[in-house]
Amino acid sequence: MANDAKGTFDHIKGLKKANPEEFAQFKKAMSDKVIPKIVKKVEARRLRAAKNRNRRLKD
Amino acid sequence: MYTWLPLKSPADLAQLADHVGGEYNPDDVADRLSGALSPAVKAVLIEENYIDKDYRSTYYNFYAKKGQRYAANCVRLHFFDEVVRFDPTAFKLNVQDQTDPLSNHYYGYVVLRPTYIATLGRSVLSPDVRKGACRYIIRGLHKVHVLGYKLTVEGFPSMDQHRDIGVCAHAACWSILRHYSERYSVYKEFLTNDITIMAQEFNPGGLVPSEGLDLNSAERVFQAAGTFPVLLVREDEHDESFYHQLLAYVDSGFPLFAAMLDLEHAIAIVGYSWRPNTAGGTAGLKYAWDQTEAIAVIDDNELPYLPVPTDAAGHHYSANDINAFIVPLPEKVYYPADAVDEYAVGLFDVPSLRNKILPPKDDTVIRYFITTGSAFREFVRKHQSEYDSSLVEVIMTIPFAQFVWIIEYSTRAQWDTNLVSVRALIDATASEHENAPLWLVHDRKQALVFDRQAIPIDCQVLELKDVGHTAFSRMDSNLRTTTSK
Repeated sequence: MANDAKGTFDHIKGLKKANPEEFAQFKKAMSDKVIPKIVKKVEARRLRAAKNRNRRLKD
Repeated sequence: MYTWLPLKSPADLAQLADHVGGEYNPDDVADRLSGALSPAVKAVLIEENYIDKDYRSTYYNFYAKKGQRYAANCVRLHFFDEVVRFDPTAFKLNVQDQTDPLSNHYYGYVVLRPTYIATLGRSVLSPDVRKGACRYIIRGLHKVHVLGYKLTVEGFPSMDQHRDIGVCAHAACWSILRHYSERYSVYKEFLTNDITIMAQEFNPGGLVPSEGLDLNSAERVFQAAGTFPVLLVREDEHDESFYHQLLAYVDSGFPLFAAMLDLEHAIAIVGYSWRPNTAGGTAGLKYAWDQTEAIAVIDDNELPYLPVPTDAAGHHYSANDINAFIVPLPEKVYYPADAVDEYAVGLFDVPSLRNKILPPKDDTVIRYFITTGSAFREFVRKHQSEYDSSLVEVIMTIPFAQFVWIIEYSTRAQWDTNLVSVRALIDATASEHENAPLWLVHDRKQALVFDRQAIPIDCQVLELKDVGHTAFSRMDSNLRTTTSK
């Protein structure tokens, strides 16, 4: 069934499958280098927010 | 009762004291207004006995209970240009050309509260008549009823803090939420006293609110108002990413509740200005923040749209003093700005993108912001001559989930001429753990199209025809530009 499903962009002429090697390389670069940095950064942001929630503003 | 006060210059506002009682502190009001308004303001209509819902919310809950007598009504000042005349016998506002709408000559209003101190109440002024206002300001359309006329003004709400029942943080929350309720029908209106109550788990009564508000309470206010607040705290003074994100959210049209934790002060950030020319400077990857000259703030001790410099101490403070902010987001923004900040530069780690699509990293300026899929389509439709027709078809077909992050990559030379060489679109509902949260990456020659509805996510390539443009227009339609008068 899944193989028969239409892709979102099937009707657009000129679209070709990306080079599988390049797409795999893209995903690997992101998974190995970028995503760990993002996860670390987001976690650090949450920790800083938790530590500072009681800071007072009154002026 | 209505009084017309013609002005040769803003200094003539000193005459306010002849028409307005001392409980409204007219000398202080005149002093502040005359220093901040442009000479384009040529007349003030003084409207007495104005019933202001925000002041009344504090009057019923606080001022009416005090031993000192406070009036129940306010005074409202309306500002006009030189074209408008007032007929005091017929109570009419006239412009010579009857087909010219009165609103074209109206610069907004300020309400004066009868509280003796901190008397500037609910105000909506056009940034066009604020001296030194930043070029890009978040604004909404506000309806104003006066003398049977329905006028409109575009601006951002502001007011002085009450000091006794509310402080800077309450005023900043109120400004942002009033903008939301006027701009987006999904948000309800909250009055000044509502904000004070929403900040606490229970009504503390008395003067407890005047002791201040913590960041947690401000988050509670925004959450109770139906937004989804995200709190960012700067790591240290070298945390440039904090400012990239600050600008990205403002550039997206989201006003920020910003805190200067060391000064214990809160403001709302509502706009910014680019530097005039940035092509020079040292080599290396730059961000839109590096090209930002000033941010526009709503500070409850000042008139609205105070320009605050990004890199030097201003009259009061600089952007360096801001070390935390809360962005009240709509529901469907799951992918945070800190993830976009890393992902945008992370695309340079992919050899095929670095070598074939992206501009040279050392010559690149990165800007990113959120918009809606429909606003992006509208922008592309307006500039469709810059795009290959197949790419237009792709953009019109992408099944956007309401919001999308847009990353624009420009060379420095392109930045100075408001152009973009590469654009990447990230699904704002993506997870921060996804390696391909993208909808699209394209330059003039090639587009990578990501089918996020396929399992697993599929990537396709579209070779683009040369349509005779060297680059794409920058998308700056999220915020309106100020036209200084």
